[in-house]
Amino acid sequence: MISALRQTFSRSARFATLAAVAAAVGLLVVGLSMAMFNENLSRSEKLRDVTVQADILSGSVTAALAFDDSKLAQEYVDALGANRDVEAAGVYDLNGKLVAGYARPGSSAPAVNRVGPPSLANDHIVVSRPIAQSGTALGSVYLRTVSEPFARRAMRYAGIGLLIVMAALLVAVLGASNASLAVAHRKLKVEMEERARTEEALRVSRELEAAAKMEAAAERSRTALRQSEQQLEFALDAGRLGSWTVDVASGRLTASEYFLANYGLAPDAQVRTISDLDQYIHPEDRDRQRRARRNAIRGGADFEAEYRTISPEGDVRWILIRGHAGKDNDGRVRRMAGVSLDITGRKEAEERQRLLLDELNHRVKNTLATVQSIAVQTRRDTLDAAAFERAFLARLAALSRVHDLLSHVSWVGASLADVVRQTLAPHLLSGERSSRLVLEGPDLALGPNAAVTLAMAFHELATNAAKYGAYSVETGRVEVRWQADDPKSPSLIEINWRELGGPRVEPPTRRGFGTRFVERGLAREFDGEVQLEFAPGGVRCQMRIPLSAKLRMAA
Amino acid sequence: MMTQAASLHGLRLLVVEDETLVAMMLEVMLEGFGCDVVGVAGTVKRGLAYASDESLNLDGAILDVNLGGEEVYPIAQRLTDRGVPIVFCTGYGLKGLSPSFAHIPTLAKPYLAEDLEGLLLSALASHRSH
Repeated sequence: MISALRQTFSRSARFATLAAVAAAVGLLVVGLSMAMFNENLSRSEKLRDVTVQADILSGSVTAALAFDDSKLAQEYVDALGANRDVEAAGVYDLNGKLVAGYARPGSSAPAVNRVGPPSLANDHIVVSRPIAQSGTALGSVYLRTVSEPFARRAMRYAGIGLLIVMAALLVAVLGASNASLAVAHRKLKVEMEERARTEEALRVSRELEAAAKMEAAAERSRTALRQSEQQLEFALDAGRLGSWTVDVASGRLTASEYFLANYGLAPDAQVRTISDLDQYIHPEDRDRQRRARRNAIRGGADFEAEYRTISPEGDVRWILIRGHAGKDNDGRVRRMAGVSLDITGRKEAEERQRLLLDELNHRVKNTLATVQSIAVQTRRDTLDAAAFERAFLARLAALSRVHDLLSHVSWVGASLADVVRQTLAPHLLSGERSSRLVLEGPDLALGPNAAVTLAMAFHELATNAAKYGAYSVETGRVEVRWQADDPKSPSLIEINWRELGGPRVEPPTRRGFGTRFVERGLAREFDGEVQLEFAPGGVRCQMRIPLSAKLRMAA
Repeated sequence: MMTQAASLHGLRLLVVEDETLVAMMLEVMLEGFGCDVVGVAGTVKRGLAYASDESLNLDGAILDVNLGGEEVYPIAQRLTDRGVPIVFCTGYGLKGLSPSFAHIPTLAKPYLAEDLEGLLLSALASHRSH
């Protein structure tokens, strides 16, 4: 475009220059022609003037010549001296002999003259005219005048030439300026066109840019929407949240796979409307769920319900539904949408926690009742407060130790050997445990109540042994052996307590709490038989306990 | 006090309680009231056997609600069917009771001898008024 522009510009400039030069040359040629024409015209006029003067001289001297009055002729000739152009003049007789002559210094009239055609020299004109009277030749005149002097002529032509040159220059300048104007005009036109094109391109480009910006913005919002949808889906999936939408008028349901899964339904389950779901809601929760739904639709309130679902296979799950009613401009509820979440695990955990708390409360209350029982019965056996305190605290300590043991096994299956060892530990020094206490028998597991009862029973036996029996002397020892009635299919365990090496045993004079507890309490606890024998060689206690959940062979 | 003491005196009572120590305390308390504990059961099975035994001539029963995980209700049902008045002793409190036995007088563990005595008097008195 630029080179084309330059081409256009240079071509028109060249044309304009050529036109100006041509015009100038034309003017010069015309000027020269006119100068030459003028030169010729002025020469011929001069010649005519000189000829007329010669003729006047000729006429003037006719009479003088006719009368041979050379003096008169000389007067006429000298009169010509007033004309500064006349260089020389002469009057000649018929023979061509000079009669009268005049010449300026440096010039001379020829001695002889013959009539002939005028001669035009560069710097002078020579005219010879006959002198005649009534058709009779009398002689001739000679007149030589200067033509226009060279310097004058040159000055004249220089002025003309200058005018021509100025005209040519004017033409050239006008032409050139016209050309440059045309070029400038053309350039301006080109520039304006270029500018219009640029502006159009700019406008188009701006429109394109704006359109591109709008498109980019639209693409960005589409991308953002897509991302947001993906994030929502991801979040819903990650949270195992189902999503659902219900058209209130038609009841039409749109539900995600997770929502259906919450109901225990397959992804392709035939569930078209909200009513189709009712059959999968636990009958006990159906009315409650519907009521919550209706309230939400009627009041435009948030919808939240926890209820049980029953899958086609009969699996019961708890789900949490949260929804929101979307109102239209008239304030009517058009549709509801929300999420669903399987809260079976949470409900089970809540139930477990509730049971645990109930169980804890139960245990604490029962333990308090146990402590109360120990207090009440210890008081009946003791004579003074000090004895009561000693016995009561010893029993509480035994109870506490067996609770420690049970808590170590999470209140499940304490071992019989551990219960005995733990209960008797306060009566033995650490070095004596293997020598003064023999434990022998298969592994047995005790339920919590059975462990407490057996621990209390062994505590009573050990306390008695420490007061009156084997543990009242340093050499005494206790053997606790147990065995199943039939090792292959055991139904009953026989536990034998035997004291050895103690002082001679006297039967007690009255039966206190310890004796009652071992004999009656133990038997009642296990629905078994207990024989307590105050044999002289040492106390023996035989417990025959049927195997049950309370006391069983350890796995 | 005399009339109350007289009213519990000689009553033949059944105790159903799986906690041996608690059962023994109950025995001590009831014997203190002058009652005759004719049976102590720690299981539903044994309790049902006592409840069905008409030869025991029961005047009333004190039942622990939870027997080592088992509920005492079959025994309670058997006794009420037979017209034997019952009271509950429970570590669960009143809210743990089955709705069909919610009207039965209930004592929460642990309880004082006086509370037990008062409850027994009112339970047996209301029974006698029927």
